[in-house]
Amino acid sequence: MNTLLDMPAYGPRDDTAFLAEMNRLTRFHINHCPEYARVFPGFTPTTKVEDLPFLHVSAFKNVLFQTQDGTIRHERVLNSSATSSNLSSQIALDRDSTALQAKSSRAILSDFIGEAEQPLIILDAKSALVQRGTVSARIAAGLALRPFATRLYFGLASQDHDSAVLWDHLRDALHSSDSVLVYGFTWVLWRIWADSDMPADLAERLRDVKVTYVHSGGWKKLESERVAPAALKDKLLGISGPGSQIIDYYGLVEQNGLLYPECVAGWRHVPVWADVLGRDPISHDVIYNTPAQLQLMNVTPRGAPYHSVLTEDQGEVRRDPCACGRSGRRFKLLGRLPKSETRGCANV
Amino acid sequence: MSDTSSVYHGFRDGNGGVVQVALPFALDALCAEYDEVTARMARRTAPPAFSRDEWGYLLGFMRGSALRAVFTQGFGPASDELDSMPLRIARPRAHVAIWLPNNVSLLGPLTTTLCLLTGAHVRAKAGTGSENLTAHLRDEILENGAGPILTRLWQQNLTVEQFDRHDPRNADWSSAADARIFFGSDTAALSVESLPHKPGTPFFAFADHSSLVWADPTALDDAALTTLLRVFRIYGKAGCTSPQSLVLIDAEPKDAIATANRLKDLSDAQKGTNPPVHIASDSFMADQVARANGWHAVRTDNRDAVFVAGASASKDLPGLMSLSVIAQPREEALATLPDEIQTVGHIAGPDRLRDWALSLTGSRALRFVPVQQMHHFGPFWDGQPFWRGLFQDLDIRI
Repeated sequence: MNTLLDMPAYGPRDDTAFLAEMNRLTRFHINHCPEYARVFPGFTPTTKVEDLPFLHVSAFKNVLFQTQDGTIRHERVLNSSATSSNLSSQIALDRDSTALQAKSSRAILSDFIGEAEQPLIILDAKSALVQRGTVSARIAAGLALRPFATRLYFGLASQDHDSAVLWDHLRDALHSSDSVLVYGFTWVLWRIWADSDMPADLAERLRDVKVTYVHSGGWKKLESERVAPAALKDKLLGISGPGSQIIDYYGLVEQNGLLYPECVAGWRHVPVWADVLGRDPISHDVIYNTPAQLQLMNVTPRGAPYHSVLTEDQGEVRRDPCACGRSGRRFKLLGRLPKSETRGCANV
Repeated sequence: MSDTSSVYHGFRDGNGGVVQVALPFALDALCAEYDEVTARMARRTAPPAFSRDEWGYLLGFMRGSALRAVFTQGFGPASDELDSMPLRIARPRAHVAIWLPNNVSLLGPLTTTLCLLTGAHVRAKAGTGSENLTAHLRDEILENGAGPILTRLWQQNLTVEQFDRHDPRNADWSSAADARIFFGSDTAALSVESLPHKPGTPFFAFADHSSLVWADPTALDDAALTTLLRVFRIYGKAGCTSPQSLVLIDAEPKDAIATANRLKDLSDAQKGTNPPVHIASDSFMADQVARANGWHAVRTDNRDAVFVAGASASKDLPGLMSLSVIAQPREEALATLPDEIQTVGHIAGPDRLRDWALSLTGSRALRFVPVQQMHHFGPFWDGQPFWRGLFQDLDIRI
């Protein structure tokens, strides 16, 4: 078990220890995951983090990578929300990694929202928890906040119908405390909370409750409705009590447990047990201070080789200090890689 | 009493009789107008909405001689026996509705051109998430000095609108149509088919399909591979007529590996510009997925394509620009044809082609064409003479 996770998330980095752990993990997965070994047959430990091998995130939509050395206990498969390709990434979760990832997400979130425990409203359906063998990215994201919860409240009656709101559950939560945590996919948060026909008594109560909104993903749907991030923020803060705040974090199932909340200066910070690189999308050369394809790394995955992945997202990576006061690596998320229209059928 | 508003055009059908096709214009005059306008359009650079290849193909498709050929394919050789008693009179169905999906390329402009060739009033529904190429073509034709017949057809007879599947215009257009043409997914086809329509209205659905290439390894010289690459590079695997894989019939796995390597070398030698970043990313992914499955994969130097030699399952390899090369005995190649197979492109000598063609009888394949013709669209599509179906016949017996 590595010790990087015992260090302060955004404190001084031990890059030597990080590289050593990443090399060890890569070798471990090559030795125990045949599919991964076939992708990187000639791996030798590297002396630079830039030279570590990486898997493309969408490879996980097509291959169920699973590392098995006899000691790993795989528990569930984490599924990403389906994209336009209608394929979900499948990440084989194991018990040890899940524990490390819970520790990781707690350390990251506590740096942004503090340690205080309060009621947690998850804008999802409780039934999503009980699917045998699998867990959706949406519910997993909400459960990352469980360590900060005195009690869980689920806001939806059904996963499939974002409009089926359990107003009574929300009423109970808002009356149970003067401060609450609310987690939702960005789109869901807008639709059933910010832009909904909330019952009048609930809306009135909400104006007295300090709410910490945490949201992630789901921007695409919001953009299609022409709702700007600022509009979401203004609306949420406008209907909530004094001191309320909004945390928008970036994360992907292929980096489970690693959350990248946006700081007050608009940057995403990388904890000491993780790293980020920006790569030229064609040459894969590492580039800084300019839009690049993001590669994310972290030392927690044991059950599958998702410790170093090339995302389909663009960002600008910097290494200088941030105005928010956090040190270390940081990046500004710039959205998905640009995609031109794909045409098909009947042509020259 | 003849219909004085129609111009009759004679064609000799397979039984030796004459079919007179009643059009609201003289075909020669229309073809001459197409020749004039396309000559003017060819002197200009391709409009931004079209790639150079698309534009070139479109202009060739609209040549007068090519459009005349549509009639001979549909009705038989032209005949000047207009005074003899016809076996049939073919009258265009007055109103045609076309549904086009989002990612479709030239199908909209091409199908519209064919439908307008009957003199029908055409309504084309374009997808909301892509360029409306049909409207772009209409604008180009009208802005380049179209003659009076073309102006009437493209300006007055054509309506092109973009709306989604929930729009009430879907039902309205379907109700009013005398013929319906659909391009898109199987699910959407069923949905459009079930819209209200007049009894007996023909419905031509061109739904989910995929295509591949069969090749005799001894015929795969660099010229043949270069032709295949040219066809593949147009839209990768995005089209229903795009080669999803290259099947080397009765070859060995080592032949597949050698062919994949040669495709990469020929691609690299062309030294094209860098691909869009999402294509580079997608190809990187496809390369890794192929390797994870244990297949031989080679990626072009600028990451714009991946060539894979693998098992039959590699036909389903993800990646827009990933082409699988598979060595299979012919019987196995036949047995593993996808259910939704449309076109089997071929690269082989004539001695092989007849046997291969006959062996496809028991399959669902709809086209067996030289690889360079895989994307060629025409009045006979997916095994359906749909353009001929845009006419209703008056059957005449004496």
